[in-house]
Amino acid sequence: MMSLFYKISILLLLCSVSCLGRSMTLVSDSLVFDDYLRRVDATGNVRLILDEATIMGDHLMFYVDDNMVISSGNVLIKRKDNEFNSSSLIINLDEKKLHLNDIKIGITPFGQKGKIYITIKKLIDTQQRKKGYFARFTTCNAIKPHYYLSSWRFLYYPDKSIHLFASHFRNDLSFFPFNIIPFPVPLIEWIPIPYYYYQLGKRKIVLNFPTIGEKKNSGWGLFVQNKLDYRYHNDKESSLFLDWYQAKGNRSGEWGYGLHHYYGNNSINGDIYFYNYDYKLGNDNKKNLTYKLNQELSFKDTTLKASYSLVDVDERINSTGSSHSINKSVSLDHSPNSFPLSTSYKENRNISNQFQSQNFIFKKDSLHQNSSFSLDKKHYASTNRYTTQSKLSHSITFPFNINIKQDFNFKEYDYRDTESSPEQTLTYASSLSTTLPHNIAMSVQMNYLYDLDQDSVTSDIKSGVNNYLYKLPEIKFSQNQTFFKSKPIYTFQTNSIASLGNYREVRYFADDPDYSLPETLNVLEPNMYFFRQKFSKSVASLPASSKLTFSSTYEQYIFKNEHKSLFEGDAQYSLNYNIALTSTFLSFIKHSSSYSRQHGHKDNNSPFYAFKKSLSESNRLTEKITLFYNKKRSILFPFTLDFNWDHSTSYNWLLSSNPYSNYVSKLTMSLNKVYKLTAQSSKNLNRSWKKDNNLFTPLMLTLSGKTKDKLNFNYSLHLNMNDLVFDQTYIVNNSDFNFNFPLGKNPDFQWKLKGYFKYIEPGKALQLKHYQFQKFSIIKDEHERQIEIGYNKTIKEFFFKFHFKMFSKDPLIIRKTNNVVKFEGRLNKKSQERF
Amino acid sequence: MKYFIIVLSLLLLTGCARTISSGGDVINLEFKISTQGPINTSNTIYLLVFSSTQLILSEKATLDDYFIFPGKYFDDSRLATLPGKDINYYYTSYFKYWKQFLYLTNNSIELTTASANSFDASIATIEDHQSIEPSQGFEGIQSIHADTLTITVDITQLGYEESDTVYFSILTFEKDTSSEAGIIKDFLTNDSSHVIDLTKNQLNSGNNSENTSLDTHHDIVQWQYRVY
Repeated sequence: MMSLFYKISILLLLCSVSCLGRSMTLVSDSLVFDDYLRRVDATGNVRLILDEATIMGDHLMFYVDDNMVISSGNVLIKRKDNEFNSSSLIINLDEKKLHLNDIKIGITPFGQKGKIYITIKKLIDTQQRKKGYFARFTTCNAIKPHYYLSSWRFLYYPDKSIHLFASHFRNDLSFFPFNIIPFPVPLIEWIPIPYYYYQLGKRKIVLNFPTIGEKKNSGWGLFVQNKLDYRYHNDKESSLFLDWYQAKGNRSGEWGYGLHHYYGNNSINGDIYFYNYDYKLGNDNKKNLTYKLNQELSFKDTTLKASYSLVDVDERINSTGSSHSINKSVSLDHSPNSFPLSTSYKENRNISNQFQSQNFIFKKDSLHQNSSFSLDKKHYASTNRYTTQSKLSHSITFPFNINIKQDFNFKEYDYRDTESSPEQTLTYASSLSTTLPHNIAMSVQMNYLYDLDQDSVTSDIKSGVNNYLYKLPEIKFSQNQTFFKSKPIYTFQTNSIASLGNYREVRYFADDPDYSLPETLNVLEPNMYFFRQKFSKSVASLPASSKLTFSSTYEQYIFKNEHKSLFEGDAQYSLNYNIALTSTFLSFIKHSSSYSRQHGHKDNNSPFYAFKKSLSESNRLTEKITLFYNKKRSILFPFTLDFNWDHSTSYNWLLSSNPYSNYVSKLTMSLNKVYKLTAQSSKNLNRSWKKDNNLFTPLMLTLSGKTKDKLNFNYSLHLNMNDLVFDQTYIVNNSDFNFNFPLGKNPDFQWKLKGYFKYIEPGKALQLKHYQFQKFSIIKDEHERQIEIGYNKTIKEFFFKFHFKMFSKDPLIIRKTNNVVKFEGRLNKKSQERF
Repeated sequence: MKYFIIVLSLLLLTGCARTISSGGDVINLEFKISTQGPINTSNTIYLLVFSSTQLILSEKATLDDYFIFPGKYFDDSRLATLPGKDINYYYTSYFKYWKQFLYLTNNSIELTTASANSFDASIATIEDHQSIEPSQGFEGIQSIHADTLTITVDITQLGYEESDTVYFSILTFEKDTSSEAGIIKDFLTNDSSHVIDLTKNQLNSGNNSENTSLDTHHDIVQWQYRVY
């Protein structure tokens, strides 16, 4: 409501028509001068232009001797982009007074989407002031507005102030119980405002409605937070704060004060925020000090931003506990649309949490090159632990699609309480990649680690920080091909990879802490050759809509061991083949069967740890049967229904015990592709029928819906399937319910319900009473207004919010938590902590 | 034709598998986590928790709760606004059941392990909280393919040996913009089937119910592990 007053005050500046015109122009179809009456009659398309205002009508009369202008009927008054009608017009040019009657005007305020509608029974406009009779202001566009501010009289002094006399605010609500009460409920639907004063002009000093609340912690009590706006510039309000906090018991000190000042223009601007509240608790001096500074400079395509904030708080209003932090940041961005450069530095120092972090990022993109550098440093003060990570990257593209990428990574672990020197490593990785003729992709990779601390940190070996596979270098060729493209029956795909490299591996082993392979760096001779060939083939157009896919992969690793020839060293071989068949029978049964086999020889071995994990064995058959039904929308049955019931399991020949995987059953039903029901569980096929064997995984049921009209709900219930099967009891493991849906067809008067319920007694039998809401809110739209009532159990907060949609950033809020009850004004800052 | 000649010549290099050098066998644990939509590590924390007990998550775990992690920096002013929650709340409610956890965010993976069988339930101060450090030389491998996050780790890195049994859970969090903490979004509830027998060739998978109220990269729908 405060917002409405404020906007109205600004709008009256726009809609007033000054009769103090320094110039006056009259245009009409005919002009007749009556010498007897000393009157000029202007008729037909009359236009009287007074400075920026134009008055249009069918008939205007000028009394020459009396210096009066009178209209004989309706006139239209235009000023800039706004226009309004008046049923009559009287201008006294001697007294410089304008009389207007029955004014109706709709104005779109700057930066807003809707209109403010103003009706004034009578307006007398003089040089000093404008006096209005029976005025009504509303943003509701209904013929009979659902809410409005009505004033018996108002006085408007341009650039100085506005006064409302005997006003009231009507806010009719359409829902129960307000719709059956025959009169407007005071303070909710009808708010009397005997007198209101608002200062305007260049020195707009506005005392806003205070935030009044109570903090129930020991030593605290009521508080009143006042905000005085003293400047409005660039859509920002500069303010002073003067707050009172009741002190009880051994707490003393009741006044807090602060300032939030915005300055600058479009090129250079910023704001400064300061707030201080000192008090004493017994003999202890307590401090609540907050200081923030933001600065932004823009020049052409370059923007420089900087910020600093200091928060030193012993106890907040909304919570308990202290906080002490200093944050700084600076950033420079240039030309975001072409070859951008961006750099930023942030420093966060949380003194109460004994943590500090610094972060620096630099990034520059060019047509063929990209560069970036980042530095991230953290300090955990309580354990005197520093960690630093830094990365420098550069990539460049040369002609013939040759790409070179280089990365430097620096890591430092500086544990000053336990280590005498910091552990430092630098890794370097580079890759050169290009595409050779015949679509062969080639890459050359070089990876290297430098242990910068050398031997000064002995624990680094043991911790594994120095474990690394050096590529010195690795060369790889790969190619994808499709053969017999024109003859589908013979078509097959291949993928070939061949690589060779000179590797060196350093690792920590308890029995060989200084292990490295090879022990000394050798020349560029490769010590590992790798080849992989993959073949894949699909056959469709088989009976029962079947599709058969087959793929096979062969892999070989040949290692060059020291003092051994290439054909005498370690070697690893693997052959893999997969075959899968999917078929559909009788339009409702889908069968899928797949078999996967990977052979790895028992003598497979790699001297390098990094390649030992490259090969694995498998011998597995997977079966899946799906019963399905898909109904399309028809005239008789205008809905869609999709039904799927999957049954699957597998058998693993490599396991001597428990070879079967769980038998999984999953049912999915979807109505109109909006509402979806799923039910799934699985059974262990390796164990005997006994409850203690935990044969079943939980039965997971979900019911969800999501529609275009914003209905969205999700109910999830996990039941213990073992209890259900063996004891026929419905024991809940976990359950919750989310919903968000509108009620009512008229979007202007809809209810919206949002909530999150959780089952609070897991392990007990399903009972509705065990669902407890964690978050719940009701939103009621009331034509251009919105009311929200909600509760958040996590932070134990109840809130009530009311706002005009046109001024959605200026809500009226009542917020109650365990310790604090607050009545907040229109400004967002008031809903936040001052410190 | 050239292609077949090249392939054939490489195949001709085929010999027998050989073990010349020594070296112990390596057992790897591969974990795949699938979400409803593409994995997003820039503003999400994916957590893989290991425990010796099935009780990994307290029944108190609730959607949209603020959640801190052992040894990780959190916003104390935010924690102060939550009634009944302080550092010790998380250790007594959750971490006393955790042996270790993998913390994945911003394309990096970290392992933090308790010094004993689980994190100390008596931890209540920022000093004790910060004394927990991630493992420096951890060599986990993560890869992301669309909506699946794959983590591969040598079980000795986790401190386990072959034939050990370990319980696990997976959680997703919306990352706090100003700290290393997060807002809990989805998790696997405690269940006896969330157990891994760390012997070779074990493979298991499971589903988690979809939740349409979540962002798709938070919504865990499937998990699978493989020991090889």
